Amino acid sequence: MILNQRIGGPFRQIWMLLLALPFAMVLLGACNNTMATTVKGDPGGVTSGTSTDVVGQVPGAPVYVDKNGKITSDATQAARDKSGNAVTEISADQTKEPLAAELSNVVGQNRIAINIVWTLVTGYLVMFMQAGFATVETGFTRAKSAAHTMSMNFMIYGLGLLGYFVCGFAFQFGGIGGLPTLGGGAALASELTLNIGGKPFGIIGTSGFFLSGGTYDVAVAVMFLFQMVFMDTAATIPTGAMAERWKWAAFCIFGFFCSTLTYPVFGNWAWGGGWLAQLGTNFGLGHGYGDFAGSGVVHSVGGWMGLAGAMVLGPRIGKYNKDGSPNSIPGHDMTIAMLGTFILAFGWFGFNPGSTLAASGSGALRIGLIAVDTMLAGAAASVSAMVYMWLTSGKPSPGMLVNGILAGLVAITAPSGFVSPVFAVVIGLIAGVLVCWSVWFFDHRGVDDPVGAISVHGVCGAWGVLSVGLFADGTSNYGGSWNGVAGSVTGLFFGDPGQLVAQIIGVVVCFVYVFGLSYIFFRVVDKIIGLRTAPEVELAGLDIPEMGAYGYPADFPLTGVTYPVANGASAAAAGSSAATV
Amino acid sequence: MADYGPKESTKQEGLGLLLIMAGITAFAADWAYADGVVQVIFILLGIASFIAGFGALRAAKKAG
Repeated sequence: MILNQRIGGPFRQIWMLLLALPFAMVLLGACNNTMATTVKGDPGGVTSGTSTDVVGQVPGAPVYVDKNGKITSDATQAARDKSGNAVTEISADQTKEPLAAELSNVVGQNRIAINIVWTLVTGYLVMFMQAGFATVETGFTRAKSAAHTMSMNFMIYGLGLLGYFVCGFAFQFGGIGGLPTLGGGAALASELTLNIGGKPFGIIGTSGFFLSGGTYDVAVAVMFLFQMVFMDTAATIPTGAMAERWKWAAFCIFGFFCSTLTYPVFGNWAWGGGWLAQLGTNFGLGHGYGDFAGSGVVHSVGGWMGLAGAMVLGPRIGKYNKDGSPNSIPGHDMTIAMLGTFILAFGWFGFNPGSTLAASGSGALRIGLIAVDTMLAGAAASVSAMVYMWLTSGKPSPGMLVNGILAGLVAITAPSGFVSPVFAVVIGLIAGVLVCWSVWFFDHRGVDDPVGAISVHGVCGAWGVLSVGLFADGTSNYGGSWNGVAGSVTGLFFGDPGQLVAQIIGVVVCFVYVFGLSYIFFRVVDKIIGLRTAPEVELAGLDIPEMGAYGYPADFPLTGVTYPVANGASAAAAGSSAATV
Repeated sequence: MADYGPKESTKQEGLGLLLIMAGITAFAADWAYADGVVQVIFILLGIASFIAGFGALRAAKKAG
């Protein structure tokens, strides 16, 4: 109270930040002691991919040679060379079969090269999904704010990338412990871990800042590119849910915050070797939280961030009538929305199959099935959404066709690496109907989501995560284990109820953490700098006031429209879109 | 419509955003690179820049 009085004024809330930062510093300082700073990377790409990457493909392979010249897989029995290193089967053969030893090096490097090329190309596909998000969201919203909506989708790429480079990647993958399919990444071995009841709980990674030190490495760079575009996907989802009234400066801060903290922390828990991934090794819950390509880590995270933002922002002017009933505010261009959807569906072939991080060895040839699962689920969901809307509203709503296929693609993202094509169709069919229900639900609860992002990504993402715990059939084999648990991820209907429990925990934690943190963040930003544009700006359209340029030529037909306003008055929307309310 | 322009996305908001990003970057840099006194300087720079950024944005809101 005294502090409040002393500081007061426009800086009243800032003292809270001052108090929070020392705690963060203590936390970071503690982590600093455990950083793996001695491991060197391979920035030249010379030593990544060797004969060890060939031997590593055979679990339990006899790697070493003992004192009697016999091969063994037990390192303790291995003979030692002059430097004290264990003599491997390959190093022993170098004198007897030098060509064979060299060939095995070439084979190893080729394997790693295939994996690196595969991961990079699929990463490029995911990057192009940004164009899909931009056109879908802009098409679903009004012409008067087209430049603003497009610009958000454009700039989340730059803002998010820099934030992820500074510390987001380190938080997420700094403790993953190596990237075996990419032939490197040994420096990513520093995780802040809490020991509770004798069990480790990974909280956050602490190496890989600025891709420096030992993480100046080709394998880490490939991983960074691939994971950065995933983060970008999550970060761009709220721009749809919060479109047409989000203040530009507040959006920019969100972009940096999301990429440095919100997304990477949950990503660490699920994919970076954190405590959700450890549910299997710690508590015997299946293989721990299983989310193959990110229904939860990417899409639910984005959806719940969007939900928090849309709730704090409030609905667009004219969305709700005095009695609370919602109005439909049509988008201005369904054609580019549908074009964007196809771009997204195309990019999903990078999103899901690319998540193997490999195309050679370690069971990575399942990429064919993963791609087919992806297309089947999307197709099934578009059909079920179309049929549902046709039967319930009398017309096959184009907007829900778009959301239907996206819902199916989102839902199959987590299970795509674990389920058969038949269950991919089942997952998609359910997602197509679920998204229709969910859009209606949020629309009637006062949450204005112009593009349906909360339903598509948040709700159907959660469904996708749960479906792993139901339908994973135990036939996948990514190096013989998942999250440190031997064998394949197997769901309830194939004999492992523990996996479903792990998935439920993951869904709940994702919502509580992401929605909770985001809600606090948006509230603080709203209080300090303002989250929403002024009403007159919103009515006129955000393009000129916020961006200084129109999305469309100045002579585009932006004629005035009268919007009903919740308080019973009406507001003339000078320069608004031709779309009617 | 031009009347709305000066109130939104002002230079002061841009400066605030830049300071926040610089603050977080300096804070992360101290963690990744620096040691001893330099680390403390980075931390202080990061915090100062972070707070100044929010201060600038807050002032921009008041001015708008």
